Amino acid sequence: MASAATLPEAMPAPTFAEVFGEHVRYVARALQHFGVNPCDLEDECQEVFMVALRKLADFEGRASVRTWLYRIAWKHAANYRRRARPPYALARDPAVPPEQERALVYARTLDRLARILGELDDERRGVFVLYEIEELSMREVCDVLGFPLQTAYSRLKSARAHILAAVEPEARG
Amino acid sequence: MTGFRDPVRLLDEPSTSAELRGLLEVARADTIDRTAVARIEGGVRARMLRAPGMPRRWGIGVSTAALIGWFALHSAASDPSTDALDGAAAPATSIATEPSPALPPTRLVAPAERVPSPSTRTDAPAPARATAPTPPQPRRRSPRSAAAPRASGRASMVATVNPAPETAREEARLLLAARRALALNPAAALARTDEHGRRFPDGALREERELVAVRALVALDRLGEARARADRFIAQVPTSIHRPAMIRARDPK
Repeated sequence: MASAATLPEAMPAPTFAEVFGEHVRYVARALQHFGVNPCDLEDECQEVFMVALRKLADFEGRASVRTWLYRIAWKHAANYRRRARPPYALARDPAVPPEQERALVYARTLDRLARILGELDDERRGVFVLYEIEELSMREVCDVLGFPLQTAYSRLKSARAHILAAVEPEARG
Repeated sequence: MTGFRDPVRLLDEPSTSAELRGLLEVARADTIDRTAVARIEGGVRARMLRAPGMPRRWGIGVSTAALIGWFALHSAASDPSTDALDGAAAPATSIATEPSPALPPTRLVAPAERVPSPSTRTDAPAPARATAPTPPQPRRRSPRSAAAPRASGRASMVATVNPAPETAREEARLLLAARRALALNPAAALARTDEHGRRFPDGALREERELVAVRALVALDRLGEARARADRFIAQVPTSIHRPAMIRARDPK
């Protein structure tokens, strides 16, 4: 990752509109996989961007904007999980018309994924979501979650084992 | 620094089962649509305007009145009084599915610094931050403002900077009525845009009006007029956020 010292001096700071427009979908997706219930997703996404708005002036460019937003989203989702009402009922998303088979299959798949991710502890969940779904590098994952690299690898390995064990029996059953 | 290398991701691993692959592929899909994005955007904007001391750095050229108009256009969707205007249901292409009128086009710092999509991104350098933020440049300028428009042709199309809130609401109401009529009664939709044009020739939602008008003309099979009006719009406002939508409206399948 480039350090702030190596970044081009003349690059203008991103405006909030730019940050929002480019990243809102990533943030929403990450929030959902971090455990935010779809019925709360828009509100929580809004909260993340309000925090980002307040902190944008302090953004120093040491990480990518996206990584920076993930970090805010991760902290926000952690707070959410502490106060949210479980379980995270993904299949209840009213935005998905149940009469549409494809949408229903999609919702069920998300529901199943949420159930499996929900079995992980926060650290393993965070590493797995950021690495396998959001496709950050492991170094970026560490930047978001504040782990040492070795810890992140260990959490990923453990998360993968859990998820494979959860998915494969279901697949056979 | 270390000898660690990122492991192959499960989706890139040939031995990953189809079951898990399916789960991960769904997981990587967007979880919100444009309508939801617009709602989130609206919420953030509203809170930006309300919060004292909140930095108003949404972007460029976003006037309070235009925001009010934007909100009115959305919130009026649930207002039964506006349903009676045409007796028409909201068309499939509601305003919420289009870029919001007041939102400037999104652009990250620079193309070279653009964050790639998840499927293609690599460990690109982080976007930089300048030592001092550049003040955003107004995208919409008033023909009567001291600043000269970028091009003479644009002057007749750009919107006023700061209309009164009630004016913005009325503009939004008219355009909402036009959009709602579009699906079932395009002639009524066109009439609404004409009324908007008479009452608010330089209105904050002028670009949106042109888009609705072109769609109405296409729906009425007045393709020549639609094309001429769309071409005029594109020539006068080549950087409009509605340009792609205008091109799609002008050249229907």
